[in-house]
Amino acid sequence: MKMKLKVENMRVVLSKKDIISDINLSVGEGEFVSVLGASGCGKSTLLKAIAGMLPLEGGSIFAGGKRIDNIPAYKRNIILLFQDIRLFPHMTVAENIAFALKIKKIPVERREAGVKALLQQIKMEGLGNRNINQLSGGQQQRVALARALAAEPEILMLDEPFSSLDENLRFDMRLLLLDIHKKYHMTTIMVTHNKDEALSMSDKIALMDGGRIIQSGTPEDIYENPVSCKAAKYFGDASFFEGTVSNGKFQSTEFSVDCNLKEGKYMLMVRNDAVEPTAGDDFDFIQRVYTGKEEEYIYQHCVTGSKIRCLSNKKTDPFPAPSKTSFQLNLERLRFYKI
Amino acid sequence: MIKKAVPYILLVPFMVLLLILLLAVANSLLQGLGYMPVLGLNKISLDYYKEVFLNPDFSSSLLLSLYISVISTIFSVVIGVLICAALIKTKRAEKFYRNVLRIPILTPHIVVALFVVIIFSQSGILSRIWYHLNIINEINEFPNIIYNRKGIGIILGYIWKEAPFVAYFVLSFMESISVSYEEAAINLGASPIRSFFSVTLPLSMPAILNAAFIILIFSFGAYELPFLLGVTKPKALPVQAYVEYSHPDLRHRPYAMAENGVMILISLVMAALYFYLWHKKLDGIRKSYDK
Amino acid sequence: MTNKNSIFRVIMALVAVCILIPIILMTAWAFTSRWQWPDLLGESLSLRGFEEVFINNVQGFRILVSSVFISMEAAFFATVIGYMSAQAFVMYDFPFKKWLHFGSMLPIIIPSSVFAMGIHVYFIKWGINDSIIGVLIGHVLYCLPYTVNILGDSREALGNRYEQQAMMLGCDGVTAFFHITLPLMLPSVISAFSMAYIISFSQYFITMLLGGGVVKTYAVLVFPLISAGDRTIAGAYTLVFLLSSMMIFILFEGVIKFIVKKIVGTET
Repeated sequence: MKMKLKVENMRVVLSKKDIISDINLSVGEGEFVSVLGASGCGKSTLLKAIAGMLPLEGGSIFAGGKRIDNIPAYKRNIILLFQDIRLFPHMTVAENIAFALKIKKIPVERREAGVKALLQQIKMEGLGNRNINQLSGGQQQRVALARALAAEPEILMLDEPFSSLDENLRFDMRLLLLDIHKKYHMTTIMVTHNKDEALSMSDKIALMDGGRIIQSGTPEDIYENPVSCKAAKYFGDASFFEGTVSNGKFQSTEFSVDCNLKEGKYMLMVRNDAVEPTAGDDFDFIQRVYTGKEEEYIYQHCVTGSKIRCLSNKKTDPFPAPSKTSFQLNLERLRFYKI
Repeated sequence: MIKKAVPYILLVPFMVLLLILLLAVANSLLQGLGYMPVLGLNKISLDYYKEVFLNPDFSSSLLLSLYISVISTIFSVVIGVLICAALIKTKRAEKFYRNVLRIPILTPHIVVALFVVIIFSQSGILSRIWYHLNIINEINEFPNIIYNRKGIGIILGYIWKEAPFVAYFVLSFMESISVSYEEAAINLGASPIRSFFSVTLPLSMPAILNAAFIILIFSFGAYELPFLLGVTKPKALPVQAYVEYSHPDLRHRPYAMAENGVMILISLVMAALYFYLWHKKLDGIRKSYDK
Repeated sequence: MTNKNSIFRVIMALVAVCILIPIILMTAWAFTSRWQWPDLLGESLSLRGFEEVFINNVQGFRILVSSVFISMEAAFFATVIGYMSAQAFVMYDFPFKKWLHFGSMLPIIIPSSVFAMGIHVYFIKWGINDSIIGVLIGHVLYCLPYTVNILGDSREALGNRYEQQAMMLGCDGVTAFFHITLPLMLPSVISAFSMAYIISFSQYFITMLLGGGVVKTYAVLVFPLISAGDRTIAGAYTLVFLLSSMMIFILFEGVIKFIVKKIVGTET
């Protein structure tokens, strides 16, 4: 696959602090990549640096094979959709969308035709003359998208595009974005802290923490084989147990498991859908968490106090939830991390 | 019931002062219309206003004052906005420049007059430099920059003080626009200059206009600079009005007040113009980002 | 990218030069003995200017001190009245609010000389001409638009969320004001005070006309010296004038920074 974007050893410093460092990222042509991470991990900074709004302290950026980190921002043709949308208040919807076309000195008729087509695309036909402050949040988001598309970007980047929208709107917007991505074969990079979004929309996920990319791969890759505890914790539904490995066996107070690892201290990770109740009474019941489709049961080990999370599907496999029980683990799904 | 009266109670001292101001204005207008019982003048008449307008001294004073205020405002606004834009883009020594910009704002007009004299008068620094550059040989050869009939010295003094004021006044506003909307425009492909003129400048207009009218109205009616840096004829209007006012013959008073009345009226017209522009042209812009 | 930035740096440097040169020149002139045309440097360093300002003209020094007090008083009243008015405009809705708010901006529209000439007869009638009271009324009136504006903006930004929280925790209105609102408003109160001080200290016409020859401020003292012959003396007086008007401002800025650091724990 041709590489549309390649970031090598990028480092960005703000106010004398390293915000992001050692960033290596490749995005193929037409790929949809999500940059996932908690607030403050540097993901927005990464986008801004790629777009040219922040200077690089080190490293380089290549787009379509050409080096771009020494090209000024307005010539890069990498459009960023800001988290705070930033539609120009003194222009109408149509004027906002036509902005990039006007800059490129495209003649009036073609501009108007382009704007009309885009308005259709975002399902806002006839609303071209509206003033920005008359639009709802979702409409503003769509106009911002149209405005970006009008510029015919090589790469489209979005910074937490749906965080200010409510659930229903978010679903519609996600569909719209994916639709556009498919239609234009648009290389897209989306920053989000919402793991479900990242998992459901992306060809590839880059997981960021503390200014670094800690893992990058397909959604399945990252979910099933997180490269570290931190990466695993990101998807939120795992239980962790600390223990030691000796003679090919992992031993902790709660579990003992055969494994093929070198001696040392390890953290065992097991996702909540890889846990089954069995006979026994090691664990005490704490809480039941109901999420509509599923239920999660949280138990606590009677000696160490470590918590274990167990997922139960009400319809196919309802869990009786005794006050005391033991658990058995799906050995294939376990992951070990050296500490 | 007491609760409803609270805002009014809080405003009592202010209202007292406002009444005093309104009294001064009313008195000026009435006396300008010839109503001065103490002189036995009990009839309202437009004669004084008429005579004042027919007086060539008055019209040249009025024109001079308008000229000075309009020219100095235009220059101060253009230079001030330029300074503002430059300051926003200057990251190094930012704090130093911001503090230096405040100096003219804190400097009394009287001091500014001395500055203008020190630099631009015939015995000033510029004249001395020209002598050493062999441009002039005698002190009299240096042109009369400051004490001249067009009020150049006065205008220079106002610009020195008001351009930094405009810059400072508009700064925080323009900065927030620059950081958000200008960045978006650049990202969409507009060059920095293009995005400044298509996005930042239009969106900063409310603040710029605000500053412009403050200095326009002020420089029209202020007394100090035109007195200290002006010539005998024509005098700027505030100076002319006071000359008339301090005339030992009290019968000159209505003329002085008529001149003051004209100043009040023109100032009010300027304020009305500002409100019109504010509500008609800029309403859309203001509403959108007032959120 | 650096090319563009250097243009702006050049512009700012130029601006800084234009602002600082007059002050430096005036200071130089104040410290010379004589500086005749066409010399580019003063004849010699001398303190004769300051001798005149502080030693020969004892009255002058007394006027300086009393001017500082007068402006402090004017600033105090302008700040208190400004605070009360800002509170009314920002926190309440009542009939005629818009008109009254416009009224607080009237001193910006009506020139101070017009005001002074218009009210003069009435001050004479009321017996407060040539007195501090009349001068203070004029000064406070012309400081009000600024104090109301500064305090209003900051009062609006603060809102009443902290007061409400305090009252919900059982505290009454007065205590909430002194322990919650006022400390948080303190930086802008001080800012309004320093602005009012400078405006009052720089006032000429109002003091000149309404104070008669009786209430003399430094501005009134220095005014005639600007066009007078001896530039060294003019320079010395003006330098003292400039410094004493800015000194309070700089002092208060430091106080604001200190308070903010104490209350919020960080620098603004």
